[in-house]
Amino acid sequence: MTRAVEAIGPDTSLVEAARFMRDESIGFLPVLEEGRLVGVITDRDITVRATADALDAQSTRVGSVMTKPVVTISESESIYEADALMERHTIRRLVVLDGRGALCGVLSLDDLAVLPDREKDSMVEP
Amino acid sequence: MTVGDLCTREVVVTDGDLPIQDAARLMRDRHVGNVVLVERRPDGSAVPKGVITDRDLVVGVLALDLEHIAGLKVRDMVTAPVVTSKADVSLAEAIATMTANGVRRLPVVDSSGALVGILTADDVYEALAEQLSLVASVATYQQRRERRSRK
Repeated sequence: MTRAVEAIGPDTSLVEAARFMRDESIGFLPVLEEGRLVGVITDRDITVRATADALDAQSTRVGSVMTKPVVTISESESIYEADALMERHTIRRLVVLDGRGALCGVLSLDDLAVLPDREKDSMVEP
Repeated sequence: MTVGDLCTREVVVTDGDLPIQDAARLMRDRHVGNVVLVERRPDGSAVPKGVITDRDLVVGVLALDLEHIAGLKVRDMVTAPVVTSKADVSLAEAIATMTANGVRRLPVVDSSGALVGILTADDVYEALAEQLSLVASVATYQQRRERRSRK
């Protein structure tokens, strides 16, 4: 998984979110409100929920187009479980939480794809 | 196995006059992440001229905070020449093309240059995973055979 992930607040405008995604070269952001995970937003969410409906990107906030609830996984879960969870929800990324429920990373389908088969039985974190 | 065997044959296409808002709607309604901009030839076949993705609409349009997004057309978004793959080349060659150009999707064309499909990184993963599991099953078969022959 990717650690030290960037996050964004729900009151951020879509223009700012778009700039942030461009400048950081990312397409997926956990949305945090006072440290609490309240949603996730992707570049695609912005396209199909805002641009497609002709919403104004300057006044529309991340909180109104983000995806919630978020599918999360604990960092102590197996890769096998992560794979099953992605398949069940037909998503490509999982927000990974630590033992206290705080954001600790993002696991993507691409992360799983580059993993040798024998390691897929091991843990997210050894 | 060729790119033609592996690619997705259903491609959502548009001409350059489509407003980008409609492109976003198309991506939502057809459940795709990209639309291929094509030019029609007199025989009706389509020649790919560009690819526009859901991400392009965000980082290439919204991030600029333009006054008149509504007036923007798909044509205005396509800057770089499109990178394509021939249908009759190998998967390895298509991967090399993706790597060399830093793109995750390749419109696939026949020998005349007409669009016949699109190959995405996801299609590549799927094909490679299938081949890997075949190799893995050979190893299992070999172990079983060895156990039998040593009895």
